[in-house]
Amino acid sequence: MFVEDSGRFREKVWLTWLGLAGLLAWGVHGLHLDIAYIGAKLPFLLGLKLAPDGFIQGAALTIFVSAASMLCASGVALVTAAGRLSSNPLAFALATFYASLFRGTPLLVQVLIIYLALPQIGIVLGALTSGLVALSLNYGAYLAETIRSGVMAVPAGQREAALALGLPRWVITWKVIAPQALRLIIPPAGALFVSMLKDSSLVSLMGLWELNFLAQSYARSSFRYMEMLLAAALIYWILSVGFEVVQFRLERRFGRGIAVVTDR
Amino acid sequence: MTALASDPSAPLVRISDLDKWHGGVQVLRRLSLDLALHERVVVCGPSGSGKSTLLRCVNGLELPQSGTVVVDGIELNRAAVERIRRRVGMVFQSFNLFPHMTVLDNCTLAPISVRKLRAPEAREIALDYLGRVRMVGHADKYPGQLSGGEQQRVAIARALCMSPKVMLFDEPTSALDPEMVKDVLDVIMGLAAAGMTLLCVTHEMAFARRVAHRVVFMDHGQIVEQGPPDRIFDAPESGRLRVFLSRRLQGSPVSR
Repeated sequence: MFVEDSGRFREKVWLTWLGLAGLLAWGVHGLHLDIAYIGAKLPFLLGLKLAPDGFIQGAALTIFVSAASMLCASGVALVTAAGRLSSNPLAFALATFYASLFRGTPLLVQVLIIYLALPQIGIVLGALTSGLVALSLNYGAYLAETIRSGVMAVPAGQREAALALGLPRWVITWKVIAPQALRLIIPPAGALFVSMLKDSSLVSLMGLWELNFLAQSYARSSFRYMEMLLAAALIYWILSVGFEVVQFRLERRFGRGIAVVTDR
Repeated sequence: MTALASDPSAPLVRISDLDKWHGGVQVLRRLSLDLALHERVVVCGPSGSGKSTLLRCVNGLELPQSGTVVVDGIELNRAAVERIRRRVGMVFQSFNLFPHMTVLDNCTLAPISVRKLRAPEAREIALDYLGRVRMVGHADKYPGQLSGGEQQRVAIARALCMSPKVMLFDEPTSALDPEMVKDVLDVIMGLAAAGMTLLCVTHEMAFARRVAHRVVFMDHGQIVEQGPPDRIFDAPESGRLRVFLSRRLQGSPVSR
Protein backbone atom coordinates (compact mmCIF):
# COMPACT_ATOMS: atom_id res chain seq x y z
CA MET A 1 0.00 0.00 0.00
CA PHE A 2 1.28 3.48 -0.82
CA VAL A 3 2.10 5.87 1.99
CA GLU A 4 -0.32 8.56 0.78
CA ASP A 5 -3.08 5.98 0.59
CA SER A 6 -2.50 4.61 4.09
CA GLY A 7 -2.59 8.18 5.48
CA ARG A 8 -5.93 8.89 3.85
CA PHE A 9 -7.21 5.48 4.92
CA ARG A 10 -6.45 6.23 8.54
CA GLU A 11 -8.08 9.65 8.29
CA LYS A 12 -11.28 8.12 6.91
CA VAL A 13 -11.33 5.48 9.64
CA TRP A 14 -11.07 8.17 12.32
CA LEU A 15 -13.82 10.27 10.72
CA THR A 16 -16.14 7.26 10.52
CA TRP A 17 -15.43 6.40 14.15
CA LEU A 18 -16.19 9.98 15.20
CA GLY A 19 -19.42 9.93 13.22
CA LEU A 20 -20.54 6.65 14.79
CA ALA A 21 -19.62 7.88 18.29
CA GLY A 22 -21.62 11.07 17.65
CA LEU A 23 -24.59 9.04 16.49
CA LEU A 24 -24.38 6.88 19.62
CA ALA A 25 -24.13 9.97 21.86
CA TRP A 26 -27.11 11.54 20.12
CA GLY A 27 -29.15 8.36 20.60
CA VAL A 28 -28.21 8.17 24.27
CA HIS A 29 -29.03 11.86 24.67
CA GLY A 30 -32.52 11.09 23.33
CA LEU A 31 -33.05 8.72 26.24
CA HIS A 32 -33.21 11.73 28.61
CA LEU A 33 -30.94 10.11 31.13
CA ASP A 34 -30.54 11.41 34.67
CA ILE A 35 -27.00 12.68 34.18
CA ALA A 36 -26.82 14.09 37.71
CA TYR A 37 -27.45 10.62 39.15
CA ILE A 38 -24.71 9.12 37.00
CA GLY A 39 -22.41 11.92 38.13
CA ALA A 40 -23.18 11.19 41.77
CA LYS A 41 -22.50 7.47 41.46
CA LEU A 42 -19.53 7.70 39.05
CA PRO A 43 -16.81 7.96 41.75
CA PHE A 44 -18.15 4.73 43.27
CA LEU A 45 -18.46 2.97 39.90
CA LEU A 46 -14.92 3.96 39.02
CA GLY A 47 -13.68 2.87 42.43
CA LEU A 48 -12.30 6.28 43.39
CA LYS A 49 -13.85 5.70 46.82
CA LEU A 50 -13.35 2.61 48.96
CA ALA A 51 -16.22 0.28 49.84
CA PRO A 52 -17.67 0.44 53.38
CA ASP A 53 -15.46 -2.50 54.39
CA GLY A 54 -12.40 -0.52 53.28
CA PHE A 55 -11.72 -2.64 50.23
CA ILE A 56 -11.41 -1.37 46.66
CA GLN A 57 -14.57 -1.50 44.58
CA GLY A 58 -15.99 -0.78 41.14
CA ALA A 59 -13.70 -0.45 38.13
CA ALA A 60 -10.63 -0.46 40.38
CA LEU A 61 -11.59 -3.91 41.68
CA THR A 62 -12.36 -5.05 38.13
CA ILE A 63 -8.90 -3.94 37.01
CA PHE A 64 -7.27 -5.57 40.04
CA VAL A 65 -9.06 -8.91 39.53
CA SER A 66 -8.28 -8.90 35.79
CA ALA A 67 -4.63 -7.93 36.19
CA ALA A 68 -3.97 -10.44 38.97
CA SER A 69 -5.75 -13.19 37.03
CA MET A 70 -3.82 -12.35 33.86
CA LEU A 71 -0.56 -12.63 35.74
CA CYS A 72 -1.46 -15.99 37.31
CA ALA A 73 -3.02 -17.27 34.08
CA SER A 74 0.18 -16.41 32.20
CA GLY A 75 2.25 -18.41 34.68
CA VAL A 76 -0.13 -21.37 34.55
CA ALA A 77 -0.22 -21.16 30.75
CA LEU A 78 3.58 -21.09 30.39
CA VAL A 79 3.95 -24.24 32.47
CA THR A 80 1.08 -25.94 30.66
CA ALA A 81 2.41 -25.00 27.21
CA ALA A 82 5.83 -26.35 28.20
CA GLY A 83 4.16 -29.62 29.19
CA ARG A 84 2.18 -29.64 25.97
CA LEU A 85 5.39 -29.25 23.95
CA SER A 86 7.32 -31.72 26.09
CA SER A 87 8.37 -35.16 24.92
CA ASN A 88 7.85 -36.45 28.47
CA PRO A 89 4.58 -38.44 28.42
CA LEU A 90 3.73 -37.58 32.04
CA ALA A 91 4.16 -33.82 31.51
CA PHE A 92 2.23 -34.01 28.24
CA ALA A 93 -0.63 -35.96 29.84
CA LEU A 94 -0.86 -33.60 32.83
CA ALA A 95 -0.95 -30.55 30.57
CA THR A 96 -3.52 -31.90 28.13
CA PHE A 97 -5.73 -33.29 30.91
CA TYR A 98 -5.81 -29.95 32.72
CA ALA A 99 -6.43 -27.97 29.52
CA SER A 100 -9.22 -30.31 28.43
CA LEU A 101 -10.91 -30.18 31.85
CA PHE A 102 -10.90 -26.39 32.14
CA ARG A 103 -11.69 -25.67 28.51
CA GLY A 104 -14.46 -28.23 28.50
CA THR A 105 -16.49 -26.83 31.42
CA PRO A 106 -18.18 -23.41 31.75
CA LEU A 107 -16.32 -20.72 33.67
CA LEU A 108 -19.48 -20.02 35.67
CA VAL A 109 -19.63 -23.64 36.87
CA GLN A 110 -15.94 -23.51 37.79
CA VAL A 111 -16.45 -20.32 39.81
CA LEU A 112 -19.37 -21.86 41.69
CA ILE A 113 -17.57 -25.17 42.33
CA ILE A 114 -14.60 -23.36 43.80
CA TYR A 115 -16.64 -20.93 45.91
CA LEU A 116 -19.72 -22.95 46.89
CA ALA A 117 -18.85 -26.63 46.50
CA LEU A 118 -15.29 -26.83 47.80
CA PRO A 119 -16.28 -25.72 51.36
CA GLN A 120 -18.30 -28.97 51.51
CA ILE A 121 -14.99 -30.89 51.66
CA GLY A 122 -13.40 -28.39 53.99
CA ILE A 123 -11.65 -26.11 51.48
CA VAL A 124 -12.94 -22.62 52.14
CA LEU A 125 -11.65 -19.89 49.86
CA GLY A 126 -12.65 -16.24 50.14
CA ALA A 127 -14.72 -14.63 47.41
CA LEU A 128 -11.75 -12.79 45.91
CA THR A 129 -9.44 -15.81 46.05
CA SER A 130 -12.10 -18.03 44.49
CA GLY A 131 -12.56 -15.58 41.65
CA LEU A 132 -8.82 -15.29 41.03
CA VAL A 133 -8.32 -19.06 41.11
CA ALA A 134 -11.21 -19.75 38.74
CA LEU A 135 -10.26 -17.04 36.24
CA SER A 136 -6.56 -18.00 36.34
CA LEU A 137 -7.17 -21.70 35.82
CA ASN A 138 -9.78 -21.19 33.12
CA TYR A 139 -7.87 -18.60 31.12
CA GLY A 140 -4.57 -20.37 31.75
CA ALA A 141 -5.92 -23.37 29.85
CA TYR A 142 -6.88 -21.25 26.83
CA LEU A 143 -3.71 -19.18 26.92
CA ALA A 144 -1.61 -22.36 27.02
CA GLU A 145 -3.01 -23.38 23.64
CA THR A 146 -2.28 -19.91 22.27
CA ILE A 147 1.32 -20.08 23.48
CA ARG A 148 1.76 -23.58 22.13
CA SER A 149 0.51 -22.70 18.67
CA GLY A 150 2.74 -19.61 18.62
CA VAL A 151 5.82 -21.66 19.45
CA MET A 152 4.89 -24.32 16.88
CA ALA A 153 4.49 -21.65 14.19
CA VAL A 154 8.15 -20.60 14.38
CA PRO A 155 9.79 -22.30 11.38
CA ALA A 156 11.85 -25.40 12.20
CA GLY A 157 14.81 -23.86 10.35
CA GLN A 158 15.17 -21.25 13.10
CA ARG A 159 15.83 -23.89 15.74
CA GLU A 160 18.15 -25.79 13.39
CA ALA A 161 20.19 -22.70 12.58
CA ALA A 162 20.48 -21.95 16.30
CA LEU A 163 21.52 -25.54 17.05
CA ALA A 164 24.06 -25.49 14.23
CA LEU A 165 25.66 -22.41 15.80
CA GLY A 166 26.10 -24.42 19.00
CA LEU A 167 23.78 -22.17 21.02
CA PRO A 168 22.78 -23.60 24.40
CA ARG A 169 19.16 -24.55 24.93
CA TRP A 170 18.12 -21.55 27.04
CA VAL A 171 19.53 -19.09 24.51
CA ILE A 172 17.61 -20.85 21.73
CA THR A 173 14.42 -20.75 23.78
CA TRP A 174 14.60 -17.16 25.02
CA LYS A 175 16.52 -15.32 22.32
CA VAL A 176 15.54 -17.15 19.14
CA ILE A 177 12.19 -18.91 19.61
CA ALA A 178 10.38 -16.82 22.26
CA PRO A 179 10.65 -13.40 20.56
CA GLN A 180 9.36 -14.84 17.29
CA ALA A 181 6.60 -16.81 19.02
CA LEU A 182 5.54 -13.74 21.06
CA ARG A 183 4.80 -11.81 17.88
CA LEU A 184 2.28 -14.52 17.01
CA ILE A 185 1.00 -14.96 20.57
CA ILE A 186 0.27 -11.32 21.41
CA PRO A 187 -2.82 -10.71 19.20
CA PRO A 188 -4.81 -13.78 20.33
CA ALA A 189 -3.56 -13.38 23.92
CA GLY A 190 -4.72 -9.76 23.86
CA ALA A 191 -8.16 -10.88 22.72
CA LEU A 192 -8.23 -13.40 25.58
CA PHE A 193 -7.32 -10.71 28.12
CA VAL A 194 -10.01 -8.33 26.87
CA SER A 195 -12.50 -11.12 27.24
CA MET A 196 -11.18 -11.82 30.74
CA LEU A 197 -11.71 -8.17 31.66
CA LYS A 198 -15.38 -8.68 30.91
CA ASP A 199 -15.62 -12.17 32.43
CA SER A 200 -14.25 -10.73 35.67
CA SER A 201 -17.83 -9.53 36.25
CA LEU A 202 -18.59 -13.14 37.21
CA VAL A 203 -16.97 -12.54 40.59
CA SER A 204 -19.95 -10.32 41.44
CA LEU A 205 -21.81 -13.60 41.98
CA MET A 206 -19.78 -14.02 45.15
CA GLY A 207 -20.73 -10.60 46.42
CA LEU A 208 -17.61 -8.77 45.35
CA TRP A 209 -18.35 -5.11 44.70
CA GLU A 210 -16.87 -4.86 41.25
CA LEU A 211 -18.12 -2.64 38.47
CA ASN A 212 -21.04 -4.76 37.27
CA PHE A 213 -22.22 -5.52 40.83
CA LEU A 214 -22.25 -1.85 41.85
CA ALA A 215 -24.06 -0.77 38.68
CA GLN A 216 -26.77 -3.36 39.26
CA SER A 217 -27.28 -2.57 42.92
CA TYR A 218 -27.47 1.21 42.39
CA ALA A 219 -29.87 0.57 39.51
CA ARG A 220 -32.06 -1.69 41.63
CA SER A 221 -32.34 0.83 44.47
CA SER A 222 -33.07 3.83 42.22
CA PHE A 223 -34.73 2.19 39.19
CA ARG A 224 -32.11 3.97 37.08
CA TYR A 225 -31.20 0.80 35.17
CA MET A 226 -30.46 2.57 31.87
CA GLU A 227 -28.17 5.12 33.52
CA MET A 228 -26.19 2.67 35.61
CA LEU A 229 -25.84 -0.14 33.05
CA LEU A 230 -24.86 2.23 30.24
CA ALA A 231 -22.30 3.87 32.52
CA ALA A 232 -20.87 0.45 33.43
CA ALA A 233 -20.79 -0.61 29.78
CA LEU A 234 -18.98 2.59 28.82
CA ILE A 235 -16.37 2.07 31.55
CA TYR A 236 -15.77 -1.55 30.43
CA TRP A 237 -15.41 -0.30 26.88
CA ILE A 238 -12.88 2.37 27.80
CA LEU A 239 -10.85 -0.19 29.78
CA SER A 240 -10.86 -2.55 26.80
CA VAL A 241 -9.71 0.20 24.44
CA GLY A 242 -6.92 1.07 26.86
CA PHE A 243 -5.87 -2.55 26.86
CA GLU A 244 -5.94 -2.72 23.08
CA VAL A 245 -3.59 0.27 22.90
CA VAL A 246 -1.11 -1.61 25.11
CA GLN A 247 -1.51 -4.68 22.91
CA PHE A 248 -0.90 -2.62 19.76
CA ARG A 249 2.33 -1.23 21.21
CA LEU A 250 3.52 -4.71 22.16
CA GLU A 251 2.73 -5.99 18.68
CA ARG A 252 4.81 -3.24 17.16
CA ARG A 253 7.65 -3.94 19.59
CA PHE A 254 7.80 -7.64 18.72
CA GLY A 255 7.12 -7.06 15.04
CA ARG A 256 10.60 -5.57 14.65
CA GLY A 257 12.30 -6.96 11.58
CA ILE A 258 9.10 -8.68 10.46
CA ALA A 259 7.02 -5.59 9.75
CA VAL A 260 9.59 -4.27 7.29
CA VAL A 261 8.89 -7.22 5.00
CA THR A 262 5.21 -6.36 4.64
CA ASP A 263 6.10 -2.74 3.92
CA ARG A 264 7.99 -3.66 0.79
CA MET B 1 40.19 -38.01 22.08
CA THR B 2 43.11 -35.66 22.51
CA ALA B 3 45.42 -38.30 21.10
CA LEU B 4 43.32 -38.38 17.95
CA ALA B 5 43.23 -34.62 17.71
CA SER B 6 46.98 -34.31 17.90
CA ASP B 7 47.51 -36.81 15.10
CA PRO B 8 48.20 -34.61 12.07
CA SER B 9 47.60 -37.41 9.60
CA ALA B 10 44.06 -38.04 10.84
CA PRO B 11 41.33 -36.53 8.63
CA LEU B 12 39.51 -33.47 10.00
CA VAL B 13 36.16 -35.18 9.47
CA ARG B 14 35.81 -38.95 9.44
CA ILE B 15 32.43 -40.44 8.65
CA SER B 16 32.32 -44.21 9.03
CA ASP B 17 29.61 -46.71 8.17
CA LEU B 18 26.62 -44.42 8.72
CA ASP B 19 23.18 -45.97 8.66
CA LYS B 20 20.27 -43.58 8.91
CA TRP B 21 16.57 -44.32 8.66
CA HIS B 22 13.72 -41.82 8.50
CA GLY B 23 10.82 -43.94 9.67
CA GLY B 24 10.92 -47.03 7.48
CA VAL B 25 13.06 -45.44 4.76
CA GLN B 26 16.80 -45.97 4.82
CA VAL B 27 18.38 -42.64 3.85
CA LEU B 28 22.05 -43.50 4.35
CA ARG B 29 23.50 -46.99 3.81
CA ARG B 30 26.85 -47.85 5.34
CA LEU B 31 28.20 -44.53 4.13
CA SER B 32 31.83 -43.58 4.79
CA LEU B 33 33.61 -40.37 3.82
CA ASP B 34 36.78 -38.65 5.02
CA LEU B 35 37.55 -34.99 4.74
CA ALA B 36 41.15 -33.82 5.13
CA LEU B 37 42.12 -30.44 6.53
CA HIS B 38 41.82 -27.78 3.78
CA GLU B 39 40.04 -30.25 1.53
CA ARG B 40 37.00 -29.14 -0.49
CA VAL B 41 34.44 -31.81 -1.29
CA VAL B 42 31.28 -31.24 -3.33
CA VAL B 43 28.44 -33.72 -2.92
CA CYS B 44 25.98 -34.08 -5.78
CA GLY B 45 23.22 -36.50 -6.64
CA PRO B 46 19.50 -36.67 -7.37
CA SER B 47 17.08 -35.34 -4.79
CA GLY B 48 16.30 -37.88 -2.11
CA SER B 49 19.75 -39.42 -2.40
CA GLY B 50 20.64 -38.51 1.20
CA LYS B 51 23.02 -35.59 0.56
CA SER B 52 21.41 -33.24 3.07
CA THR B 53 21.04 -35.97 5.66
CA LEU B 54 24.75 -36.72 5.32
CA LEU B 55 25.58 -33.07 6.03
CA ARG B 56 23.17 -32.92 8.96
CA CYS B 57 24.80 -35.98 10.50
CA VAL B 58 28.17 -34.20 10.60
CA ASN B 59 27.02 -31.58 13.13
CA GLY B 60 24.46 -33.75 14.89
CA LEU B 61 21.30 -32.08 13.58
CA GLU B 62 20.47 -35.71 12.93
CA LEU B 63 21.95 -38.65 14.78
CA PRO B 64 22.56 -41.82 12.77
CA GLN B 65 21.23 -45.19 13.95
CA SER B 66 24.69 -46.67 13.55
CA GLY B 67 28.15 -45.63 12.46
CA THR B 68 30.46 -42.91 13.76
CA VAL B 69 31.30 -39.33 12.96
CA VAL B 70 34.56 -37.87 14.26
CA VAL B 71 35.27 -34.15 13.84
CA ASP B 72 38.61 -32.71 14.87
CA GLY B 73 39.24 -35.75 17.05
CA ILE B 74 35.87 -35.58 18.85
CA GLU B 75 33.43 -38.40 18.36
CA LEU B 76 29.85 -37.24 17.80
CA ASN B 77 27.38 -38.28 20.49
CA ARG B 78 24.76 -36.50 22.55
CA ALA B 79 27.29 -35.32 25.11
CA ALA B 80 29.79 -33.96 22.56
CA VAL B 81 27.33 -32.46 20.10
CA GLU B 82 27.73 -28.84 21.24
CA ARG B 83 31.52 -29.06 21.18
CA ILE B 84 31.33 -30.38 17.62
CA ARG B 85 28.92 -27.68 16.51
CA ARG B 86 31.37 -25.03 17.67
CA ARG B 87 33.87 -26.45 15.19
CA VAL B 88 31.42 -26.88 12.33
CA GLY B 89 29.70 -24.00 10.52
CA MET B 90 26.57 -24.68 8.53
CA VAL B 91 24.79 -22.71 5.83
CA PHE B 92 21.25 -23.70 4.88
CA GLN B 93 19.32 -23.57 1.63
CA SER B 94 16.75 -21.21 3.21
CA PHE B 95 19.34 -19.00 5.03
CA ASN B 96 17.51 -19.25 8.39
CA LEU B 97 18.67 -15.88 9.64
CA PHE B 98 16.92 -14.77 12.83
CA PRO B 99 14.34 -12.29 11.45
CA HIS B 100 13.89 -10.34 14.69
CA MET B 101 17.58 -9.45 14.98
CA THR B 102 19.70 -7.10 12.92
CA VAL B 103 22.38 -8.51 10.66
CA LEU B 104 24.99 -7.58 13.26
CA ASP B 105 23.07 -9.21 16.13
CA ASN B 106 22.66 -12.35 14.04
CA CYS B 107 26.43 -12.49 13.77
CA THR B 108 27.28 -11.70 17.40
CA LEU B 109 24.68 -13.86 19.24
CA ALA B 110 26.64 -17.12 19.13
CA PRO B 111 30.12 -15.60 19.69
CA ILE B 112 28.79 -13.80 22.79
CA SER B 113 26.75 -16.64 24.28
CA VAL B 114 28.89 -19.61 23.22
CA ARG B 115 32.44 -18.30 22.87
CA LYS B 116 31.83 -15.85 25.75
CA LEU B 117 33.31 -12.94 23.83
CA ARG B 118 32.65 -9.41 25.06
CA ALA B 119 30.19 -7.45 22.92
CA PRO B 120 32.75 -5.03 21.39
CA GLU B 121 35.07 -7.86 20.47
CA ALA B 122 32.23 -9.93 18.95
CA ARG B 123 31.13 -6.85 17.06
CA GLU B 124 34.58 -6.27 15.64
CA ILE B 125 34.83 -9.88 14.46
CA ALA B 126 31.33 -9.75 12.97
CA LEU B 127 32.07 -6.54 11.06
CA ASP B 128 35.27 -8.10 9.75
CA TYR B 129 33.43 -11.13 8.36
CA LEU B 130 30.54 -9.00 7.09
CA GLY B 131 33.18 -7.03 5.22
CA ARG B 132 34.54 -10.19 3.66
CA VAL B 133 31.08 -11.12 2.34
CA ARG B 134 30.59 -7.46 1.25
CA MET B 135 27.67 -6.90 3.63
CA VAL B 136 29.23 -4.53 6.14
CA GLY B 137 27.04 -1.65 4.98
CA HIS B 138 23.95 -3.63 5.91
CA ALA B 139 24.98 -4.43 9.49
CA ASP B 140 22.07 -2.56 11.08
CA LYS B 141 19.36 -3.85 8.73
CA TYR B 142 16.97 -6.67 9.46
CA PRO B 143 17.08 -9.82 7.30
CA GLY B 144 13.66 -8.98 5.84
CA GLN B 145 15.14 -5.87 4.24
CA LEU B 146 17.72 -7.89 2.29
CA SER B 147 17.54 -9.91 -0.92
CA GLY B 148 17.98 -13.67 -0.80
CA GLY B 149 21.56 -13.48 -1.99
CA GLU B 150 22.39 -10.86 0.63
CA GLN B 151 20.76 -12.94 3.37
CA GLN B 152 22.76 -15.97 2.35
CA ARG B 153 26.00 -13.97 2.49
CA VAL B 154 25.08 -12.82 5.99
CA ALA B 155 24.35 -16.44 6.93
CA ILE B 156 27.84 -17.36 5.76
CA ALA B 157 29.36 -14.53 7.82
CA ARG B 158 27.31 -15.61 10.85
CA ALA B 159 28.74 -19.13 10.63
CA LEU B 160 32.29 -17.81 10.13
CA CYS B 161 32.07 -15.69 13.29
CA MET B 162 32.37 -18.91 15.29
CA SER B 163 35.76 -19.61 13.62
CA PRO B 164 34.71 -23.08 12.44
CA LYS B 165 37.25 -25.62 11.26
CA VAL B 166 34.94 -26.91 8.57
CA MET B 167 31.99 -25.35 6.74
CA LEU B 168 28.96 -27.31 5.56
CA PHE B 169 26.88 -25.85 2.74
CA ASP B 170 23.48 -27.42 2.10
CA GLU B 171 22.45 -26.27 -1.38
CA PRO B 172 23.35 -22.65 -0.56
CA THR B 173 22.11 -21.24 -3.88
CA SER B 174 19.06 -23.40 -4.60
CA ALA B 175 16.60 -20.88 -3.14
CA LEU B 176 18.13 -17.89 -4.93
CA ASP B 177 17.16 -15.98 -8.05
CA PRO B 178 19.71 -16.72 -10.80
CA GLU B 179 21.27 -13.25 -10.73
CA MET B 180 22.16 -13.64 -7.04
CA VAL B 181 23.76 -17.06 -7.31
CA LYS B 182 27.11 -15.72 -8.49
CA ASP B 183 27.60 -13.38 -5.51
CA VAL B 184 27.10 -16.23 -3.06
CA LEU B 185 29.31 -18.62 -5.02
CA ASP B 186 32.03 -15.95 -5.20
CA VAL B 187 31.98 -15.69 -1.41
CA ILE B 188 32.38 -19.45 -1.09
CA MET B 189 35.21 -19.36 -3.64
CA GLY B 190 36.87 -16.74 -1.47
CA LEU B 191 36.61 -19.04 1.53
CA ALA B 192 38.13 -21.84 -0.50
CA ALA B 193 41.03 -19.61 -1.53
CA ALA B 194 41.62 -18.84 2.15
CA GLY B 195 42.05 -22.56 2.87
CA MET B 196 38.72 -23.34 4.55
CA THR B 197 37.73 -27.00 4.68
CA LEU B 198 34.43 -27.34 2.81
CA LEU B 199 31.72 -29.93 2.42
CA CYS B 200 29.15 -28.59 0.00
CA VAL B 201 25.97 -30.03 -1.45
CA THR B 202 25.17 -28.22 -4.68
CA HIS B 203 23.68 -28.58 -8.14
CA GLU B 204 25.99 -25.89 -9.54
CA MET B 205 28.26 -28.11 -11.64
CA ALA B 206 30.46 -25.31 -13.01
CA PHE B 207 31.07 -24.15 -9.47
CA ALA B 208 31.84 -27.71 -8.36
CA ARG B 209 34.37 -28.04 -11.14
CA ARG B 210 36.18 -24.88 -10.06
CA VAL B 211 36.09 -25.25 -6.29
CA ALA B 212 36.22 -28.96 -5.52
CA HIS B 213 39.23 -31.15 -4.93
CA ARG B 214 36.87 -34.08 -4.99
CA VAL B 215 33.30 -34.62 -6.17
CA VAL B 216 31.18 -37.26 -4.49
CA PHE B 217 28.17 -38.61 -6.38
CA MET B 218 25.48 -40.08 -4.13
CA ASP B 219 22.40 -42.09 -4.98
CA HIS B 220 20.06 -44.03 -2.72
CA GLY B 221 22.05 -43.24 0.40
CA GLN B 222 25.36 -44.50 -0.93
CA ILE B 223 28.42 -43.04 -2.59
CA VAL B 224 28.28 -44.37 -6.12
CA GLU B 225 31.36 -42.69 -7.49
CA GLN B 226 33.93 -40.13 -6.34
CA GLY B 227 37.01 -38.47 -7.71
CA PRO B 228 38.49 -35.23 -9.04
CA PRO B 229 35.85 -33.06 -10.74
CA ASP B 230 37.28 -33.41 -14.22
CA ARG B 231 37.12 -37.19 -14.09
CA ILE B 232 33.64 -37.24 -12.51
CA PHE B 233 32.14 -34.80 -14.99
CA ASP B 234 34.06 -35.73 -18.15
CA ALA B 235 34.57 -39.46 -17.74
CA PRO B 236 31.83 -40.82 -15.47
CA GLU B 237 32.11 -44.55 -14.96
CA SER B 238 28.78 -45.60 -13.52
CA GLY B 239 25.54 -45.59 -15.48
CA ARG B 240 23.70 -43.78 -12.70
CA LEU B 241 26.13 -40.86 -12.73
CA ARG B 242 25.96 -40.65 -16.53
CA VAL B 243 22.15 -40.51 -16.42
CA PHE B 244 22.30 -37.86 -13.64
CA LEU B 245 24.78 -35.69 -15.55
CA SER B 246 22.92 -35.89 -18.86
CA ARG B 247 19.71 -34.77 -17.13
CA ARG B 248 21.55 -31.92 -15.43
CA LEU B 249 23.14 -30.77 -18.70
CA GLN B 250 19.85 -30.70 -20.55
CA GLY B 251 18.39 -28.39 -17.96
CA SER B 252 21.22 -25.92 -17.48
CA PRO B 253 23.98 -24.33 -19.54
CA VAL B 254 26.27 -23.88 -16.52
CA SER B 255 28.45 -26.99 -16.79
CA ARG B 256 31.46 -25.12 -18.14
